[in-house]
Amino acid sequence: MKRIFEVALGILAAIGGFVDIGDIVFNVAAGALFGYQLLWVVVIGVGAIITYSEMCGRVAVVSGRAAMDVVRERLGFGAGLVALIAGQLVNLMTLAAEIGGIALALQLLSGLPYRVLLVLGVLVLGVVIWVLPFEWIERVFGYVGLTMLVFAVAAIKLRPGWSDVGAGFVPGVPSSNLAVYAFFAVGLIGAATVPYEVYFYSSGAVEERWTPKDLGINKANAIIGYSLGGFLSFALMIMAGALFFPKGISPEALGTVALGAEVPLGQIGLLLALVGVLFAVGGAAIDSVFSGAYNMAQFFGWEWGKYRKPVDAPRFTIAWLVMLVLGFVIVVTGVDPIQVTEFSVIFSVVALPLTYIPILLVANDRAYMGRYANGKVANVFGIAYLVVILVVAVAAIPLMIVTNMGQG
Amino acid sequence: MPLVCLVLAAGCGGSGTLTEKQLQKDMETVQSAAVEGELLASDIARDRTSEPFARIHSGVLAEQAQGVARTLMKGQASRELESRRRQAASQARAVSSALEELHGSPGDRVVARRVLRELEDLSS
Repeated sequence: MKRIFEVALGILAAIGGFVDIGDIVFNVAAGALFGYQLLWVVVIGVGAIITYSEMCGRVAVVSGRAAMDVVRERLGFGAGLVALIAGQLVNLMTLAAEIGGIALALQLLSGLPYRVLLVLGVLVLGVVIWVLPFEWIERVFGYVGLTMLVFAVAAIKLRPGWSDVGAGFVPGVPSSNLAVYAFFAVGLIGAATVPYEVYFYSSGAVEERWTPKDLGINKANAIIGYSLGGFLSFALMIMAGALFFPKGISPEALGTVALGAEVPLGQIGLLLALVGVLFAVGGAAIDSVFSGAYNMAQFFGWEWGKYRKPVDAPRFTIAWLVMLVLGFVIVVTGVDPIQVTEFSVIFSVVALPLTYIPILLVANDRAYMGRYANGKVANVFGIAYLVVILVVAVAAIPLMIVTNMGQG
Repeated sequence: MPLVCLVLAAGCGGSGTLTEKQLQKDMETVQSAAVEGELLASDIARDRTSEPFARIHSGVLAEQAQGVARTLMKGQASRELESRRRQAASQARAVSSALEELHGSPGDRVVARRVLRELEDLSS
């Protein structure tokens, strides 16, 4: 019973922790621009993150080594370093975007100046990371992030045409605006598969000392947690498709997202939406801070782990502090967090194959994984998503340029 | 380096003579801000929002419309587009100033009702 309870808690945390600023920006923008037509892409994105996370978790359980450790071993130092640099740049951009998102959400809640809230937000993040135990961080942010479910209620209250919503799950090609449609498809897959989630997940499996007995939890967390997390993405897109699309509103600010809950539900909807965004984005900021430090420590062979005291893992501690400061420095220059988000998502798509391919190879290696190597089903998904990931990685930058970041 | 140049080029809307496509895009941005302002004003008028949210978000929308107004006023257009450019710039200014009113009195339901009517006229 205790085990089932633990699994359920983990899944709940995964749902609340799935959505970050990239998901919010891309799902709402896609819904506002194309209605429900891109819902099918979210299904593909969620499938990709399930496949990737499940493999990463399994490799971590069997080998006791997290993602970047495996990447370095499989690619060697030189190519591994390229993967590390690419991963860290994307992590940093993501972190900057999340920190900006925290300050924007706090500003919409309090009305205080943005820069003051940036400083406050980073200080609180630093204290939370330093003081709170791992489970508390994961669960507080995951559970409170569940208030994002208000967007599902908002979507229902807005009475979308359910047959149109259903049609959105069938892949299709629009008659016009094809390049922008493709750009958003790439962005939605990128937003669902941001690499920090996987670095964090596999490092967490090592930190929590999962054994092969925990492979069921790994599978349940990945499949159920991320699928239900994907439900939040659907809700955001359906809300935007029902409210913004018919009115020709193109969301360019986080406030527009919150308005999507306020219009159908009033003040309570607004409050829940902003608190949900704050905690979802805050949780993602913490995950990306840790991911940056995990990557550095695993690649260079330092002592690492949130469970260790800072003096026992000094370089790991310095790494996360540096990540946090750098993320803050980027946003405090005045760059628009929403634009940083768009860039981070697109570049994360480009960098994705650098870590996905080594993980797929190791997960498939019977000499390494023994009886826990990929079976037929895992391989079908693993290879299908390899093709998807390679296609979107190649298409991302050209589409970004051709569509002027989706502006058309 | 070439990648950085391409990315920077992608981020720039370009300058010089205003094209039909740019003008259309700018008009859509203003229209979007106006319609969103309507939703917000309607919620303020019905006491369905919070004051900090109304103040901050109306300020963001006003800035959005103001930015377009500035671009349109500075930009040059061909003779065929000139009258549309002027009209669009004036509409952008009007939308921005209506939203500024909301920004200045985010808790005032009377102001919100007036701004709502103004924005409805401007976006129709």
